[in-house]
Amino acid sequence: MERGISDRSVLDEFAEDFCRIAEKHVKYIVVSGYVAISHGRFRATEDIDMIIERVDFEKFNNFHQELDKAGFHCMQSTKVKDIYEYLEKGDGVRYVREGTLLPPEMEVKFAKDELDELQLKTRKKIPFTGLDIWFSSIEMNIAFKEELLKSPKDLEDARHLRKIYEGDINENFIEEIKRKIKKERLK
Amino acid sequence: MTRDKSHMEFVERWAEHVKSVPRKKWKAEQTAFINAVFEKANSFYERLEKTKEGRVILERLREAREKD
Repeated sequence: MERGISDRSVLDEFAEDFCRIAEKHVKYIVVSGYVAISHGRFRATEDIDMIIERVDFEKFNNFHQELDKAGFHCMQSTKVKDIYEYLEKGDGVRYVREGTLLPPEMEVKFAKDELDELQLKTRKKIPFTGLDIWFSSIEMNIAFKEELLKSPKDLEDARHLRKIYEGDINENFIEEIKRKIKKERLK
Repeated sequence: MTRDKSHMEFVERWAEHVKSVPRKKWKAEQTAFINAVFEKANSFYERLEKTKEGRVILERLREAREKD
């Protein structure tokens, strides 16, 4: 991938370093705000959101140990069993660079329902971003931001993505996802 | 919280800019902005570390972030 040394932001470096490790252990996607930012949206964020497939403890432990060796520290606990319990309960666990409790951070969650499974199934690497990261699809991100999240920031993220992909968005897929969101997340 | 119309107009104008220039250009502009935000935040935290009151605030922030 052609790229200069200075064209990676603090967020890009953090995300790619983390995802490089994730790639070896689990099926993952990066979702939400960082998707828009990686498409050029002019804003920063403190946290990057990652969804991973549900894995057993042993597999997660291997993932966690490699993160630990690479200098990623989980904020909620140093005990991997506790961290795994958080994930199993549906909570997010947050990793920062060792030696700091400051952002950026990666918030990791297990896929929790059919919608998350679909996000993982339709994940994409997106050449436009220049990043070696699996993202949930643009349509998925737009649907979640417009139908579920809906804060001004989320609606602006969705607008940014719609502009970037103007004329190249599968509106039927967005509507299908919005229907699923209503059924599964807004019931 | 609502934002005025000009905010969304900026979002759209910026997206048009991103589409119209090579990635190298918008990426450099965006990276300078993002890195500056983090540098500013880090230097604020560093200044807090230097005073007793600041360290208390930082400890509370850390506890809050760990519990969050």
